Amino acid sequence: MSKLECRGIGKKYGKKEALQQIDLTIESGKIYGLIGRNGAGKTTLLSIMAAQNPASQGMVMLDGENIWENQKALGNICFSREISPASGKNGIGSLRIKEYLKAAAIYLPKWDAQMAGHLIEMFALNPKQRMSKISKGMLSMVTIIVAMASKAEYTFLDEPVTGLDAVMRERFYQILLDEYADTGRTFVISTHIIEEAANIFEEVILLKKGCFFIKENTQHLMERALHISGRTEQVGEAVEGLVVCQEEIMGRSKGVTVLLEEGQTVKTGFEVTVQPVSLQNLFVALCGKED
Amino acid sequence: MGAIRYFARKAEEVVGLLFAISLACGLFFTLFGALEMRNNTIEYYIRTSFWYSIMMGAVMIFAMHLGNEQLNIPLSLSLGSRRKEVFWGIQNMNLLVILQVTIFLIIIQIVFPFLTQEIPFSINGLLLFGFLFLAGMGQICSAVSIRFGGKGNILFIAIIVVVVVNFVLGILQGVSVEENVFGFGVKVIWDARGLNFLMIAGSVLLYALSMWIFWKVLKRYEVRN
Repeated sequence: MSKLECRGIGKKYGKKEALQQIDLTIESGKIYGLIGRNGAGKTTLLSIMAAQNPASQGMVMLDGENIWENQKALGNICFSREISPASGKNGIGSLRIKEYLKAAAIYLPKWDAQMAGHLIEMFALNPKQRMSKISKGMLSMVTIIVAMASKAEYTFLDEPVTGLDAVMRERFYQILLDEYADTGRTFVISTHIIEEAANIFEEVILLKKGCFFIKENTQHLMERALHISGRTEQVGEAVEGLVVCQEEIMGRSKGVTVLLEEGQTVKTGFEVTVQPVSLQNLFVALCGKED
Repeated sequence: MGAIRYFARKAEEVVGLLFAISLACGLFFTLFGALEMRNNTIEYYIRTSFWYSIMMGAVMIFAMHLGNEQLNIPLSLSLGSRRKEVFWGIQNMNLLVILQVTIFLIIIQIVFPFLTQEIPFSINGLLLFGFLFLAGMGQICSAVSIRFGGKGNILFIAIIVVVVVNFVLGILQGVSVEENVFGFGVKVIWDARGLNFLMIAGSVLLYALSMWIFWKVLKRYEVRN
């Protein structure tokens, strides 16, 4: 099975460490969700994994080969970057949609022009419009078209649903799942709309302050995460010895979010309410205290 | 090979644009130009457009690197191109534009021999190295702009001014104008043959230096949104 490996990736911008010692393996044929707070290093990690930007330390390997300046490896990777509306009149914003897609067709070796055309129609985009003149949602559509039509084995999308309305977001998830079912391509998707995408991610990668925090099967992670609430002393005893991610105290009541380790359970015999935790709430519990 | 194809296409766009502008400028100055030249309108139009082709060639060969820095380099890298490929794509673009403009100027002088009365045919070779010099300067400015960001752009503009002034002064060192007419009816004589070797060697060396500087910067280029 093909795999993409990050070995000891670190990235510094001046004195600021954006990424520290990331060791991560992306196995082929899965959809990964990359989550983390703003500035956690998601885009930086994706751009290094696609060899768009150099790492300050470490390397990225595809099937044992370093991907840096490696044409064969890069032909199997596509990182469709988020296009900022502020990309400028002289930058990518100066291009018409069709010009941008034409450039993508030149560079991406497995480009599927038919699929690109079909998606343009589906999203009702006008290919003659300039990128600087279209909405944030439309820019997201363009990045989705590039990612999907690239047919790259490893495809990374950075905030693909930013600016999309609920209908379009559903449409994107459907396109993604159809493509995944047809081709078994590997997708790594960074997003802040965690709850919606939780069902799509087979695995979740959580970055916290530039460090690799969790990489785990989504279902397994959700099974490990529990919210326990009740009287403060009862909750305290029920969760004794467990990893508490977050606590909230309301008068005499208390609620805690715990992440069970292998073989652990919540102690029984206490008057507490045990509930499953959504991925978004778990994310807040794990990362909310960063400030 | 994506970058080679992409930058070759960009070279065609630059050449197309520079000749379109030259023809448009030629038309403008023919319609609103010196009254005394009106008796041979077509010849005046060709002469004017020819001069503009040289000037626009010089400007575009230098300025196209601004487009590379702002659009073509980040676009190419974000679509998965290797840095080495982008580097050679840009060298290929320089070569294509310089050769096409020079060859076009030679062909146009062969088709319309009266143009060689204005600028001696032998100068075409020097013109080629002049263009190479400007491409090298453009490449250095682009590298400076990538490396130093906003401050680099100020430097870019400052260098444009210095280069244009020096280019004009350099030409004036080597030529004498026979007819004292302000405008595009002048007869240019290249009478500084001693400068030829210096100009050729300087251009080649500067271009080689620009390649080295540009690669140093491109190697560590960071793609941003």
